[in-house]
Amino acid sequence: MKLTPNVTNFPRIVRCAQLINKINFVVGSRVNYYFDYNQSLNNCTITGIRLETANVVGGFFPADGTINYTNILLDNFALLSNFFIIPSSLLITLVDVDGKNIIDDMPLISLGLGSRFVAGTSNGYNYIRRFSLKKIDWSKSFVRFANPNIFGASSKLAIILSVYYVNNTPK
Amino acid sequence: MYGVPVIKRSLAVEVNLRTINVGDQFFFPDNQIIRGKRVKVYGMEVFTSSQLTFTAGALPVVSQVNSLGLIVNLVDASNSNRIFQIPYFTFIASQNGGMIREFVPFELVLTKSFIQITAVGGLVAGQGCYINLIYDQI
Repeated sequence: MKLTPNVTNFPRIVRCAQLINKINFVVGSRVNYYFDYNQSLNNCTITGIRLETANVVGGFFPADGTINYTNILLDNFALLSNFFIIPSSLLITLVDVDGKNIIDDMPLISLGLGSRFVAGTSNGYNYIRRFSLKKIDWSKSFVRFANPNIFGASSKLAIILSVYYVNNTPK
Repeated sequence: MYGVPVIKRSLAVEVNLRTINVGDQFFFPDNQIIRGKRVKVYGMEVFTSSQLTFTAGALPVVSQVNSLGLIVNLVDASNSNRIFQIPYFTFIASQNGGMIREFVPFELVLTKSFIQITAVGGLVAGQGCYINLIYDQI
């Protein structure tokens, strides 16, 4: 089938993988939280990344979007909400197989699309961040907190990314 | 479509506003990731405390209101002020529905580019500007 030209700001999805980074947040701990190695994303070109927060996935949280720390989603890991991401200043770094920082300390909120990330306003990211990234090594890539002291209590958090990608055809 | 460039590489730049006086200039710090390399910049996004409360170096980020007193100068490889005194506020993507300001790609000299204060407002010494440069290597 011949596709019409894509004139939107959304990448046309060929394949999509879900990456989960489970974080045991400890107050004051300056550590990098690494992703797991992912075989399906091993030799591909990443075309888009979207952070899936509680703001865009319903059913797990109270209606106001705040985190319910008692929910049992994902083995007691709570899905992040923008409520958490903004004050804690989460940053993501993507590293390629050669160990080079390709994406350096990008604010995670930039990948998050909650169109109501500031409740009651129209501020937000209504577009998907598009990339052209080759040979990203997820096991070397990580997220970290710019301010690990922003919250007083430790907690278990899950960062979920939808990664749009295309396979590189072997030559 | 414009406004959502395809990101090949991105670099976080953190500028510490060490003093707060009208006219003060703060150059972008050297960055080891692109040190000794030539880069061409084709997009830029900035953040305020409405999107990011702390920089990577744990500086509190300037607020959206106070960012009105900041302008950005980007200098290219021929030492010309390619992007001259453009308001910081212009580059806040969340003010533009998530759109990123794009440039016709040019070779940026990071350490000659700077942020300048035009109005003190509520700015406080020690606050930080946080900038995401979208670039590719030459």
